[in-house]
Amino acid sequence: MRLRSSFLFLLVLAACSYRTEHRLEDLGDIFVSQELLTKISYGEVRDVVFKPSCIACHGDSGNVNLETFESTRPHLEEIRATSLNSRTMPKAPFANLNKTQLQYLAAWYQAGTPEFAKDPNPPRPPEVLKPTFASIKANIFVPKCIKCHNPDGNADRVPLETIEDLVKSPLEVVIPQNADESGLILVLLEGARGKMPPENSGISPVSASEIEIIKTWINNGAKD
Amino acid sequence: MKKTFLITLMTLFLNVAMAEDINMARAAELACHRIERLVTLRKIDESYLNNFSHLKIELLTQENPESPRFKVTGEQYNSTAESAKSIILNLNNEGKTLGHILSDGASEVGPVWGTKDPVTLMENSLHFVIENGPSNNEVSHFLVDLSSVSLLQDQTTGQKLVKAKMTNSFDNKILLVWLNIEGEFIRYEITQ
Repeated sequence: MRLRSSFLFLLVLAACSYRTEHRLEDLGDIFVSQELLTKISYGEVRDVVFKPSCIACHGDSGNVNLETFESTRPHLEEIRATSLNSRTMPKAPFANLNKTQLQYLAAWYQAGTPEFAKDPNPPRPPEVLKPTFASIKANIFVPKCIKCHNPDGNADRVPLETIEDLVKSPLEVVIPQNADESGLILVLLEGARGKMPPENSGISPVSASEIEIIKTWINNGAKD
Repeated sequence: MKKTFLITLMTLFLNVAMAEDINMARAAELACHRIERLVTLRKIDESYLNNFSHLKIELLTQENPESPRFKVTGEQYNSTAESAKSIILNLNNEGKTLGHILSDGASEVGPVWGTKDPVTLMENSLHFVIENGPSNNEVSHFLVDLSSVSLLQDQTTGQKLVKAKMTNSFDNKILLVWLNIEGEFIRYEITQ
């Protein structure tokens, strides 16, 4: 009887082990470390995966919104299916997820898609947009603009990678201390001629509060 | 003495070389952008955008690095013998607009285009020259020596197309650039 129970216990353990291995096979060559499993959280996935590769289209434009844990939760199955299994997301012109991003996403699913990490350290608070070039670039230009506005992109005539690109452009992309006449602001406004990001691009518009931060940076002199 | 002379000569050469940072086609394209900006800022009326038809560009002799290098005249559509309502833009050697002058004259509603305004369509025709001029010897004369661009409508194929007609100051050749109504390049032809 005791031998039979032990056998059954071992069988259950083997089944659990089989399920874990099977899950990894589903995800191809992605291997996740134990350390990552303990520190993974929605915030980590948002910063490493969603912000640079997804939020340009999946922001607050009305469809799948990955900007918060709450808005992401209803779409967990779709995200897993398209980004981890079939890897059909992100779509062109955005690059496929890199190895690190896939590991973060896989770890998040393996950990049960937690909002906060198992690690006792407090979660990293979301980065607040500030009126500095570094912050604007990281939070707006990189996810929404630089895919095209770089020296090798479709919009190579208007690169947005450095302050000099903006301030020294003959197109007057940024006129320091004059946000109202700066091309960057004019194309972001609702109803603008040649509105950016283009409406048919699928990329979420830059929000009114984000535009205000950019205007503050320009009116402060667009220095750093 | 010889060394001083050589340094002076090199400085002069560098000044001349640096004076022309951009070519004529790029200056014309930047002037188009400036017209759009002036309309957006409501500094000039929308007829400068919607009735835009013709552009002339001249290279100026610079008195100093801050003085204008390019004079671009943008004219509105006008089928009469009168001079057209126009805008003159002065650009420096980097293509920044230093100022503009409006000139009153005849203006008519030009051909009806699609969603794109004629200034944008002209810009797109200039993109062809800017992109292909460096590698195409024939097109390069329109990059470096562009003197005018006219925007025409071509319906000979039964489809409404944009035909940009460009001249240069190097020879008597004409560059025709066809775009679709969305401003996408279709083909080009160089004629005598």
